[in-house]
Amino acid sequence: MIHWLTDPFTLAFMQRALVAALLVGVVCSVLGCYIVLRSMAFLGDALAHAILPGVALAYIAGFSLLLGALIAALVVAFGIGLITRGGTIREDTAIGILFAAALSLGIVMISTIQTYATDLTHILFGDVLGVGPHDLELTAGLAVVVLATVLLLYKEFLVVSFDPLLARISGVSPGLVRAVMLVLLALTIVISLQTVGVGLVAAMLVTPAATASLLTKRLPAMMAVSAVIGALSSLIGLFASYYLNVASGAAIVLAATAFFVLAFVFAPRRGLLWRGARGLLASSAQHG
Amino acid sequence: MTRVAHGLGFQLRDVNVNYDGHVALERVSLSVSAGAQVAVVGPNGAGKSTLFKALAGLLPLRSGRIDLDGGPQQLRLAYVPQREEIDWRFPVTSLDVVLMGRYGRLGWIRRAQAADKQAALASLERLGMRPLAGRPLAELSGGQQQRVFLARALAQEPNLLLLDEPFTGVDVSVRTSTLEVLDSLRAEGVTVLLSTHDLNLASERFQQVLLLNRKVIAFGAPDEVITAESVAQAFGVQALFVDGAIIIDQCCPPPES
Repeated sequence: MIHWLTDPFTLAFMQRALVAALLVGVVCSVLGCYIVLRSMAFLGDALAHAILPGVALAYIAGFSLLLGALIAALVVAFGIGLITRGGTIREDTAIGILFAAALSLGIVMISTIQTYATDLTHILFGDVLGVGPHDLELTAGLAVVVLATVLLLYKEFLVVSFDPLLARISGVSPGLVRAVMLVLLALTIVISLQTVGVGLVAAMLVTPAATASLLTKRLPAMMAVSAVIGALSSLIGLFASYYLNVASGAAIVLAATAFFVLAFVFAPRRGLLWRGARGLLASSAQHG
Repeated sequence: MTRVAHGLGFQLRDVNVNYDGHVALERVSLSVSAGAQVAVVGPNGAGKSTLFKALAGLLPLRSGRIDLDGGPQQLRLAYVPQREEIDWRFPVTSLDVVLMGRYGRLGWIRRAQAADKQAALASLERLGMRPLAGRPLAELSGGQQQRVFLARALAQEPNLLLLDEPFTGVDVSVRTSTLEVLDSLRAEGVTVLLSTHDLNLASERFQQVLLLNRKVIAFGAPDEVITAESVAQAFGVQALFVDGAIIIDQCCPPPES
């Protein structure tokens, strides 16, 4: 049993994959709490797809994919802010326009490459087994930046998410906090590129946090539980990938989804079973 | 918490505010003295919330000016929002919400200190909510939720308190406890503006009533302000006059124009 657990990680690329997957799982899940609470899932998904042209450009020009993705994510994040600033275009409309345009641009660029299908698959669905030592350093650095910012600005993120009016009265600019959140979201998507890819990063942002919201009552607990679920999902996904020879990114997301289904059915008070049992008790009390 | 607060007086001069592309407040001029408690009455879309947001500095003035006694740096504002502006499922406890009232004096990054927690707990105590300090917001009744927001306002130690429709969608006991808090704030001299549809409440519990429908219809003592003529002017066809009594039909408010 011990060997079964440790065997995969005697290989250097598997060790790197493990560290990268754990980092991404934790960062996505923690930041994802705000994505879920603020109903920003659409923005996260759109931003993830919109970094494709940056990745494609980096791939063709031969510089770091992460750097390309980072630049594209920041450009798109600020583009959305710019289009909606005047108030004539709604945010979801702006997101929709930029998201589709950037995705198309990315696909056009990638389709000029000979190994189109394989490359696109790696970008869309991740290639955690191909994480290099330098990638890992950058991933770890960005993960620390995101987590440290979330901890440091806990109070500001909380009040802007819960009551933007109070935030403004208290001298905390919701616009500034939102911009910081967008940058963190961009960084998170960039490091997720390697493990789950642009197609599935939204799931890692939303699913563990939504699971944690069913199990907890306060934001700090929600973040902690979400981080644990994200890390466990990454671990389980990697094992599945190694032993069953399936795509690692998709396996990670499926593991996270399994946790969500368990919580959705069995969670105390908020789970399907609990609510169902209470409904039955109530109706039998009425009839009895 | 026992220290005596001093209310803030202020003057509006020819204030015009646009909201969502239409004129929400038109040539509003009024003077509120420190420690006054004013009921702001008007139909839906009369600009009550807009007035509050303009006072809080959350909406720009198209023209006119708002002067605060002693200058803008004197403002210590607390705002109790309308119920529908709050996400009641947000994972916070009563104490978490009230602590947010202390953020204004903390500045960026600095965490709430022991003194802030004491102030927050004392505010909860004042509204009889101390035993529920650790209870998640989602598990409180509507009345308890309202008390938490009142406690948050107290924890801000304001000199100007704005309450936006605090009696809409709450039961009689909440109404009573809210009015009790207002009474004790009156003793402390805190200036209070409260928006409501309820003309009876405004005339019975407030010394001053502002009848608003984009413009100031009337402002002053209740018996001067609440006349058949001015109420008809503010509420239009929603005001019914039956044997000398005024009835406001709030069943089906017309769409905001």
